[in-house]
Amino acid sequence: MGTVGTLAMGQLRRAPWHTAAVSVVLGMLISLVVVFGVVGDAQVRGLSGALASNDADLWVLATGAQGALSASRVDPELLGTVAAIEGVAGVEPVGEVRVGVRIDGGGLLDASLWGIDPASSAAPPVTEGSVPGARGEAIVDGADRHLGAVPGARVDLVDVSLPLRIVGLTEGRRFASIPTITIPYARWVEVVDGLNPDSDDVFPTAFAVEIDAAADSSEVADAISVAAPMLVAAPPGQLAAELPGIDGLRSSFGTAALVALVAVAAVGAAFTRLQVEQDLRVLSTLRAIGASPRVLRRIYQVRVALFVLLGAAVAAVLIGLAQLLSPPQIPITFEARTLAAVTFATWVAAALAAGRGLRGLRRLDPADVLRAPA
Amino acid sequence: MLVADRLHKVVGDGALAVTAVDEVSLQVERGELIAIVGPSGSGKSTLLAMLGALSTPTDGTVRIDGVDLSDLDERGRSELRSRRLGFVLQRPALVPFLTVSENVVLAGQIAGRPKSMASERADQLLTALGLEDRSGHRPAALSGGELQRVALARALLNDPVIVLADEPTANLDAQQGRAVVALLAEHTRGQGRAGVLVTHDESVAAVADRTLRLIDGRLADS
Amino acid sequence: MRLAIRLVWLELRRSPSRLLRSAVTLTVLAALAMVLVSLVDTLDRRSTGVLRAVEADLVVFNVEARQQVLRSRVPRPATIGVGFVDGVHEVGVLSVVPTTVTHEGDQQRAALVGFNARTPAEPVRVLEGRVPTDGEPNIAAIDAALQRTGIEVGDRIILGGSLEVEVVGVVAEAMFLQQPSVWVPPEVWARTGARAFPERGYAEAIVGIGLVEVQVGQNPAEVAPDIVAELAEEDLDVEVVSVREAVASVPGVSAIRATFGGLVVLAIGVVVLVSAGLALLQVDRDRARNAGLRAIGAGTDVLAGALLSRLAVTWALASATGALLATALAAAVPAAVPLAVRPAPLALVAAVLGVAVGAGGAVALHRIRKIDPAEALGESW
Repeated sequence: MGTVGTLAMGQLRRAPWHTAAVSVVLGMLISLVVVFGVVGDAQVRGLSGALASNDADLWVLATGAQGALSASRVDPELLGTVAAIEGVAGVEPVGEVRVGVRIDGGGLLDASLWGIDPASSAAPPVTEGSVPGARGEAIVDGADRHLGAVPGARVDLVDVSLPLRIVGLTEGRRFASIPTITIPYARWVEVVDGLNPDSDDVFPTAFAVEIDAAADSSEVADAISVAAPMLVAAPPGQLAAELPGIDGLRSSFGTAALVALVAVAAVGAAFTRLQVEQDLRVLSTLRAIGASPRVLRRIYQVRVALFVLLGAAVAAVLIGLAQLLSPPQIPITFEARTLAAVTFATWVAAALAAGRGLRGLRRLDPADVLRAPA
Repeated sequence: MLVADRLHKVVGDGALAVTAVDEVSLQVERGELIAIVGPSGSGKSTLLAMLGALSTPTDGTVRIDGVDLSDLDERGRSELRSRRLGFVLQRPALVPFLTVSENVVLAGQIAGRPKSMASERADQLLTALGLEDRSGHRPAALSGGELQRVALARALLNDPVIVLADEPTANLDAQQGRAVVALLAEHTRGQGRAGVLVTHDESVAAVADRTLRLIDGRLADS
Repeated sequence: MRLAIRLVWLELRRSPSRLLRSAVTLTVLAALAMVLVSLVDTLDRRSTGVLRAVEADLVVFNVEARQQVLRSRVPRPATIGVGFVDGVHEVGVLSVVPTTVTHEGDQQRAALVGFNARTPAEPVRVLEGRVPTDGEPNIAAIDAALQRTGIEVGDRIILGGSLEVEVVGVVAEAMFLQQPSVWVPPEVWARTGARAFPERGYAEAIVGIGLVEVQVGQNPAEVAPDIVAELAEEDLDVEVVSVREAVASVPGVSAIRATFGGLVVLAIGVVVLVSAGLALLQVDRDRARNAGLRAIGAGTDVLAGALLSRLAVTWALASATGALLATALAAAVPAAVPLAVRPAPLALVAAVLGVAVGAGGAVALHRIRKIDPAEALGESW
């Protein structure tokens, strides 16, 4: 360890409580920035995962729904129209409806019931158990395990006499932040028919479109709108991003994370500046015995880096705790890459901001050491 | 006026305990300036702290004008220090954002004196100490000798009965040091106050009426 | 204390950087907490504005709706029966359906609210013009959020892609599930809903929820069971809850409150630590000077008073500047970001910050009390 490292470490050891306090503060702020990102992503996934993550190339919704899945009703007769468009390799109806359910005999819950054929490109991949095939078989999102939604469990639909049995689980395919159940489309039509006994027709919510490998998805989307002006087609990721509330939620967490990042920089700078003032006599002595302002600056740069690293360690512990204690509906996952990125950003921000506080070091007069303190 | 009887002070605990002052008795009369000299680590500052009600002895008593300091609580000792004692410290401990005059007046305000009276007295003292041109300056603009003169003015503001000075020349050159000590002597002995001057410098101690030598916490001779 | 305050005042005037540096740090944290709280507040209000826009004591849902306004279906005659329950002063009906609003070729999502005028379902704050009354199917009022998109009183808008109405008034912002709202008579809601969701059985004899105002002096919690019993006699299972409970049941609201609530608590924890850390560093920085002051007789009260005054000034500056920053940020971000500041949440954050700074200061006070005046003697460092 060189002179700079020795002095920087020495000062850290000399004031262990101060070191601990600054590290904990930085750690809390870093964890706050990380958690904003992680929770924001989790919330967005919980709201739109079922739509965002699937293999369909395009989803087709009713134009008038303005991207809101709950308001979209597409005419099943247009299935043929879409299938006939050049570049379309396959098209399947997809349904989504809110239902009341009791999972494994538990309390009454709102759930999002999806009707997707297991062979459809929009079907969620099964990560545990089997694909629903027989009448009454369903898959659910693994995030709802805590509600008893595991393979073998029974799901009762409140207003329809079609008991479901969970045969498989999927991951990251929740919708509207409520338990999300997927059954084959034909069964879904039965359920919606049962929910609305007075209605004659059941409309699919959307079409899932698979396109030829050689076709251009935006050209196919345009062709769909031309062939059926009451339909609009877009990639599922784009539609998910445009769902009501997603933009607001994403920007909320983004804004909060940005302000938290600014807070990390400000705290890093303020503590460094106060530390410089506190150490002024020591620094005068170091200057008097020949240390250049550059060396002094580097001491503090190393200290800022050490504080941020210690802060990152504290943040890792805090995020680990949050991961253990967070409720299943707001899953917090430990993402080392996110932590590293935020730590790096924090270090850059704190070092830049602290640099301002260190500018005073250049003006420090070695002769100050000879002067009586006031 | 100031009577210390068999003062004993142990610092630290257990195996690390060290006797800093051992069986020290002394007396300072009105109009007398004594010097306490000794090498570094001999217990001079520890003794001065007990004489000035800054710390309490492990054993023994200190009386100022008949008042036993052990009878005073923390508040009482603070009041005694602000109203009856004056301190000139090696580090003057001036408030950096106050002017010289305000720093001197501050001692009066701490003692509860009306600000107008304290200001009037501060002006007199700063003039007497040759600082009238510096009264509006901040401490950072003053030399070491000037800072110690400000400290002396602050120490004298409340007309203390005893002035205690801790190495007042430690940070000064010889000429400035002599000037400060001369002023200290003039404003203690010359005005009927008692004075205690702690120094490691024999030439500074020469200005005192008596010199007490402290070695390893004990008085060697007088 | 006067001396302590005077010292801090002089310090602020003559060496502002010493105080302002701490204030800047706390300001950023105050702004963070205020932005967070404003985000929660805005997300919450933009999800539940329709229910907040009316002045009712109780909300009547059908049981199957599980307190969801969009799903609730109550037969209109049943709501009339509620009016005869002892303790009920007045009943109105309110129904919501998602729709689109087209104005000068631009289409956007909105919540269509069917309501009875001159009942507890009428929006309380009308900013401009008037609200439509029953039997006026071709006019509508919009909320301030929709007005901000460029629609004015006198404009014609198309609801659900086919029904053209004239805007006759503007009510205070009353968004629902992050969508602005259009207020129309109940029959327009039924017609628009039936066209958009043919399978859901919208009809003029059906309404969404009942809104009940109880008589003066009556306890709504005691009237609620009587309403349930009255409608049970008509073979209708309903759930009657307070408006506060209905607001909490709006989809996403509890998740928003829980998520952001936890993050706000974490942010406040950071403020406590930072203010304690800053106060401790200040005490350490000024330790020699404070020891000197104690030596010349300054009591703990003067030093503690100066520290507390300094923290109070720091808190006041941080709260005021933090509020300004949060307000400026809210004005600068695009309208899609749900960040609107209101005085009440900002004041709440400022108060909590005050407690946090006080808690941080208490740690430093302990340190100040332990400053030994004898430290003023001896070597300088």
